Amino acid sequence: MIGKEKRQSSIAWFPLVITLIVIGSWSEQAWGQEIEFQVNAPQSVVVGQQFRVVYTVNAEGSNFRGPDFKGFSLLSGPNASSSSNIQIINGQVSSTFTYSYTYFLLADKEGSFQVGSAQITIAGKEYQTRPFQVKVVQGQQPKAAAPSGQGGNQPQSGSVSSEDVFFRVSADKANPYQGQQVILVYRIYTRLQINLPGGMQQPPLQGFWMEDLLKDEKAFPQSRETVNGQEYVVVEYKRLAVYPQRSGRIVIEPFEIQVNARVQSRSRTGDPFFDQFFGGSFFNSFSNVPITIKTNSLTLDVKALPGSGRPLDFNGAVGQYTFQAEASPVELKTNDAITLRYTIKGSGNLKMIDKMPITFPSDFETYDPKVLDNISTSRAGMSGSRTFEYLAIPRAPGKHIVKPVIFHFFNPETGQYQSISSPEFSFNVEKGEGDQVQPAYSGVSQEDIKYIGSDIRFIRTGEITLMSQSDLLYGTMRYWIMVAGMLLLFAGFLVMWRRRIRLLADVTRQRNRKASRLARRRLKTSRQLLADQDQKKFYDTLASALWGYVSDKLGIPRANLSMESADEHLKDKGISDEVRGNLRHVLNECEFRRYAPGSEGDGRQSILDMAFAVITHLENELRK
Amino acid sequence: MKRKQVIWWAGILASLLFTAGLQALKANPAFQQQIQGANTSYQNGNFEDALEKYLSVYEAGMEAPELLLNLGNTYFKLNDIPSAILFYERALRLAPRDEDIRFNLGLAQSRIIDKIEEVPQVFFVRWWHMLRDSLSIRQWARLSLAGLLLTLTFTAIYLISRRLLVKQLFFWVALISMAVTLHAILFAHQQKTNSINKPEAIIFTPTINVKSSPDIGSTDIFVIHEGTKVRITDNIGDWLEIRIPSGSKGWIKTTDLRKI
Repeated sequence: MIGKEKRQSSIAWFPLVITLIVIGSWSEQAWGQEIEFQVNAPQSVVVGQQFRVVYTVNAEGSNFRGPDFKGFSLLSGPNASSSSNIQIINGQVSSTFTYSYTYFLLADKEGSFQVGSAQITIAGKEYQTRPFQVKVVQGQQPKAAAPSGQGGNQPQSGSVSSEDVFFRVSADKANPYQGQQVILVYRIYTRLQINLPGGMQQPPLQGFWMEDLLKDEKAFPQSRETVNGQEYVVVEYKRLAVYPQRSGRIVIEPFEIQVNARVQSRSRTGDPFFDQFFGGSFFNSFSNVPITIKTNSLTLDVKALPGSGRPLDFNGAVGQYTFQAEASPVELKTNDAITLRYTIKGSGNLKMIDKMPITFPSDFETYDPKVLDNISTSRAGMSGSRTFEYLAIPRAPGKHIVKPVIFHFFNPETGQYQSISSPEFSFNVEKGEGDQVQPAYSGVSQEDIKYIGSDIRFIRTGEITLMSQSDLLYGTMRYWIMVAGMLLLFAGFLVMWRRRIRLLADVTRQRNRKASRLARRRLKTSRQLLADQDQKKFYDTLASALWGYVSDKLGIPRANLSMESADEHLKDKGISDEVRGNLRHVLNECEFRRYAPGSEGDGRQSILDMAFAVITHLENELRK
Repeated sequence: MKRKQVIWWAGILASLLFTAGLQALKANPAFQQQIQGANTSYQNGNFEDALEKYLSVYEAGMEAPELLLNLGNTYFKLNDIPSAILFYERALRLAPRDEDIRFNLGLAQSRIIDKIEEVPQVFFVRWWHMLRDSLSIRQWARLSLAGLLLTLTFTAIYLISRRLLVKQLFFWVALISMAVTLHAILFAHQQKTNSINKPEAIIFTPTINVKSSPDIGSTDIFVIHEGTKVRITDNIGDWLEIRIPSGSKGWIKTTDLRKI
């Protein structure tokens, strides 16, 4: 019976359900015709707190005698009220009656007080309740003092105690790794009808990256739970996947929210069932009492990721993942686009995974990757996939390779780092259509825009003089033969020239040597002609003897000699003026007398002597 | 009588030498016919056919700046830029100052991917190289022969002449022509040794990762692309050490390039 009452109170906010329960109650109660007379009172109250004690009976009785509330101030009561309930189910009419007597009391002082039994007479029969104890405490009541068992019922006064509504936070693991997912759940336990502040407030979490797992829910998930024997409605106010960002002890500070509790301010019957059923509309009025509830604080002891075995380019991914990569197309032309997709799938801190360092060939024009998330948040946390989509445009033909990318993550289940490598992609890029280099590209590296539209100069169509490719002329045998031939020719020339010079020199020397002898012989001929009639012949011979001598001595042909040039050459040879003067005199005399007749025989001897003397002097002076 | 005979023989020898020196293989008519056919195909836009015919002459071991220019043009029209560059470069080796070849080479080079800035050299080194590359090796060789002939002739005149003024004049002229001859020989020699010891080449593989050492697993230093001109500085097995104009060096495979 008590259990039944409790159920009624705890389901008071579910009007749809109530009816069903009531039907159930009816079927037990109405047909059993059992008289139930009982009391509903808090087990403990705070000093100064108002509270109610309600006696209910399910049949009309008389002569109700309440107990003596020793130790409490009686504010009012007993206030009698009655309610009836008539139901028609499957054509059967049933009715229940409830009479209640309510006392409003005030706890004056601390202590434990015994309240005696109440009595009532129903159909001539005496019924009485059990006596009960009320504990009056100072200040706020500890949670441990929450009513349990028979006394428990919905509080109906204007006050709300901490066992009516409280707020709890819990974590699914107390000892996670850094970056590992921890589910934090903030639950409100309540026995009252409350209005929640809409879930806009965020708990004060520091040192975490968090993800709200309830953001897609329309209403707060509710369930029922028994705490310390009391049945509560549990509202899941927040469910967060949090990822510790640092290692060490992280304290989750208490989270404080305000809720409005709907509290019945006045009761006519004191019967919770009726009160709830009709709400404030018929008999009761309710008021919203703002109350502040606060969670406990929680401490997580976060383990650092192990330093040993940590890959160099580990970027903080913690969880269970798979890694896949794909690229298309593999065969393409320059300036076509390639799409590379690197997908990380699994559960964990997906949203914190950064792009991996991908080394593209330098001929690829690349852009920042597009991050495609397909992440679902379920009650168990985050899972799904994150894809990095790269767009690359090869600008040069050839075989280009994108080296494998290695994704590292830490698996908290095994406590180990794991690495998954993507395949190596090889792209066969052919030269694109159109022989013009793309202006957009050429503008980057080349200054050839001015050439666009220009063409190469035309071929040569004339007669072509072909040469052998191997014949470079220089260094060939032919070349050296020619050089040698020319040098040979020159050497031949030199030899011939030298010989001729030597020959000429020999002739001169001989004539020089023979000159005196020749001259003397000629002079002898002249002497024989001294007495001759023909003086012309004498002078001719004498002159030719002298000229011949000078010519031979100087090595100059006779024809090239004149008086002046001979004199000049002799002067060059260092002949004294006197000797030259004599020579000139003799020659002049010869010239003069050849054609001058008369003075026969005269002077011939003296001229001849002078000629002899000149030759002798010349001979002497030339020998020096 | 004897002297006359000597002069005769010398004259015959000299004329023989000159016909040999200025010898150029005057076309085999079959080659000329091929070239004419190729020219016609080119003008009709039938570049594949033109290429085949030009190549048949080239592969028979013949070359001429015009032939190589035409080959380069044909490759250009077939959009094979690396080959076009290769043949333009080869044509420039034969006719370094040909303006059409330079223009077409510039146009082809503007179509490749790499633009490598050349490291500037000291001005006199640059001028020296410009001078050296202003004539082809054959031209330098011919110049050296002509210069040698002139030097010797002028020397002879200098020796024979009895007149002072003539002697002075020919002394200087002979000296100058000797200097020209020696430079011509030097340049011809440098070009030849360069083309043997450090040949230049054109990259033919579309994209190459140039390695730090002749080993497939070594570090990639830089990336070059087809059409780029490089100089080969060393070789080990089927690996070549190359230097790009900006001065960077690295190793690539023999199959990645073709020598100019």
